[in-house]
Amino acid sequence: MKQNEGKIGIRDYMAIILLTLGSKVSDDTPTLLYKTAKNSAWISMLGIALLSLIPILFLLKVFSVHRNKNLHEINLHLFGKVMGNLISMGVLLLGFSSFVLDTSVYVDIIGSMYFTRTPTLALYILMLVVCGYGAKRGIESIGSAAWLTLFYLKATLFLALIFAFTKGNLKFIFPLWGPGTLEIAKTTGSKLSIFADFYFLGIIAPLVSSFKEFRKGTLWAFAIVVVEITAALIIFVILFDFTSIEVISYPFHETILYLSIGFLSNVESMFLPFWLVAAFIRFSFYLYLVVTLFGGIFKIKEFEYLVPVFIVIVLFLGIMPKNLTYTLPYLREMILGILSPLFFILPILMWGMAKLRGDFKREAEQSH
Amino acid sequence: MNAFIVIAVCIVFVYTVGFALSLWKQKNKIGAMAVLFLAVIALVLPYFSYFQS
Repeated sequence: MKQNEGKIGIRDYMAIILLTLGSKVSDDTPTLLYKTAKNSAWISMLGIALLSLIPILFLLKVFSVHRNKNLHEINLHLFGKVMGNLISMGVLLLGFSSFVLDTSVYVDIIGSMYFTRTPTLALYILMLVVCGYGAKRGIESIGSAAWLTLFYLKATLFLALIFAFTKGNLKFIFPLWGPGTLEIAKTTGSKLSIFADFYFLGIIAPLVSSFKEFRKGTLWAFAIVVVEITAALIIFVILFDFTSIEVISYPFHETILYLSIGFLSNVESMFLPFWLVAAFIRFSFYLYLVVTLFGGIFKIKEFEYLVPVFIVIVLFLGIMPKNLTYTLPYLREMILGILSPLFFILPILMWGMAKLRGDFKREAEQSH
Repeated sequence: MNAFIVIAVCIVFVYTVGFALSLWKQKNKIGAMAVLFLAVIALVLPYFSYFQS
């Protein structure tokens, strides 16, 4: 099986972001926000979005002067061989841990809410084999698959949210500031890394057809995802109220299990197939990022041969935590807590180093 | 199930070691060692996470 070596256009690139980040609505991310920000989780999401815009803009500025380099190559260029490799390895380790936890959360969702009698290991193996196949096919295939699924996934999500909205009580969003501005600010700061995926997107930056499209795609997708997640957070609250939503592990799945459209009582069967495909694409992409970064650090050009070994490691690390309902949120919060300051500081540091090295000046001189 | 897991993990181990050897032959010794390290982790991990529990 040969990987496609080509580049992806803005359409596929945006589809990937909208699927990977947009599907955070359907995992335990909302619960993590509700836990501390209560009914004003949506306000803290807006705060997270505003704060995340700063590192994203710094990153884009750095990428604007290193258009043919990926994240690891830029790290090497800016921080030197030793420090650059160390930073990339740290990024790889955190990204990989986050990937393992995300897959574990998804398997927990599938196992606890839909396929309750299927062994977790079987679900995990099936999911990772499909994702491994996707990752091995390369970024072009992932992008095409993301684009093909995007419309159906977003249409069903939109439908679910609209129906949930009609069944909810708008008064539940009050008091607007929930537990107070301090708690909202704390949640904003500690959960900033919800958008850390944008940092990892730097790994495929040179694979997007042009920098202009990379920049445009990143900013548009960011805006759409923020609107989507904020709307979902508001709708979950008005449907369940914050007292019950804090104890619900996966609000999106509870919503689609709760909904009935006319005579259709099991509407989750309408959403599940698209959600599953989106999950496969999401993890194919994450796996692709992990093997690409590993390949970059250790100068391995044919990194697709690493997919099987990574699948085995992810599988056996993913099944390690016992008592998933309690351990997964704890581990997820821990990873978010470590990633948040790094996601904010690293791009600013990169921009500072590029400025010190005179990269921006050189670029300006070249363009004149 | 256990036999299936042992066989699958062994196949992946051999495949990855083969890839590490090809990297070694291409003079990418650090890459080969990193891949070998991954292969060993993949071989050992099931014992701790699956068979011991």
